Amino acid sequence: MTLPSNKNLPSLNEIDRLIHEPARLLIMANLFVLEAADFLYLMNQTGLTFGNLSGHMTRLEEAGYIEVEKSFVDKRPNTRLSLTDAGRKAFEEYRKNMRGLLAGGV
Amino acid sequence: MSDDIDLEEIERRALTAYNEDGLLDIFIGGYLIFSGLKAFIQLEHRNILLSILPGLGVLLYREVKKLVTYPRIGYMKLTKERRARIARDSIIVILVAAFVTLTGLFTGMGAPENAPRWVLFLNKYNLIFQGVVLAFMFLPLLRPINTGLSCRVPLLRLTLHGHVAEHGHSVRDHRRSNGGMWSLTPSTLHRKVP
Repeated sequence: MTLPSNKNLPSLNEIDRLIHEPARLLIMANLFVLEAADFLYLMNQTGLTFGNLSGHMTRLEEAGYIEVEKSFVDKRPNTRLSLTDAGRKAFEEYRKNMRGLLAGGV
Repeated sequence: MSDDIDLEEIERRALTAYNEDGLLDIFIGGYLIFSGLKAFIQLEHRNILLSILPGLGVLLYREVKKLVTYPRIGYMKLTKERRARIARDSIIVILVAAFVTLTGLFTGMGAPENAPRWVLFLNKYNLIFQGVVLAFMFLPLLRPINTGLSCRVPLLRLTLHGHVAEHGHSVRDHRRSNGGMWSLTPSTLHRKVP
């Protein structure tokens, strides 16, 4: 859906809807302040369920925003997530657009 | 989204997440209990044992963390910037501790009567001297605080300015954006996600 835009305000179309979803926003925000985090850590910090986090993780990976590495730590499977350069840039862009949108008197 | 996402808060939670298990308190408490029971322990070299216990404790602490905490909390890796800051702060703390220990040894050991006056003075008031040195040496670790007062003390302004400059903001920019007040954490200004 394309929304009408006011030339004096950033367009709502510029908001990245992939990141805008609350659960994914939480995931991106947590990964933004860290170099990497594993699945269990993100589950604890975001409060999402296993299935929920897994689904969102897949969406973000498909978009190229996060990188997923599966390995073993002390013989236990470990899934490590980190933001890609594209993901970091997209998050910064999202923050800038949101700041501009809300500062524009919405 | 109705709730703000504070990146600073998320980072802070990342740092505190590993310390909420109480293991450090248990280890320190155990060491204190052992120190207290020292008088009742009939070991030939108990003082030596007491001296090496902290080192052993650190190694054991790390292993217990790996066994107990990390499997429950999960793993995360801090950014290079944050790791460098922690390393820098740790070095400052170690240097300060070493400096205070050395000055304590120097000033608290007692001085001969024919020692210079300033040496005798330091010996007499060695605890006060150590306290003052400790307080000033830890100043670089202080983060700017919102006191509601403008900072007129040159030394404090220098320290705070030095810290604010590290985050890429000038002192003037800081004041302007906060209506003349020092903000709690300068990075919050540009990190809050609306």
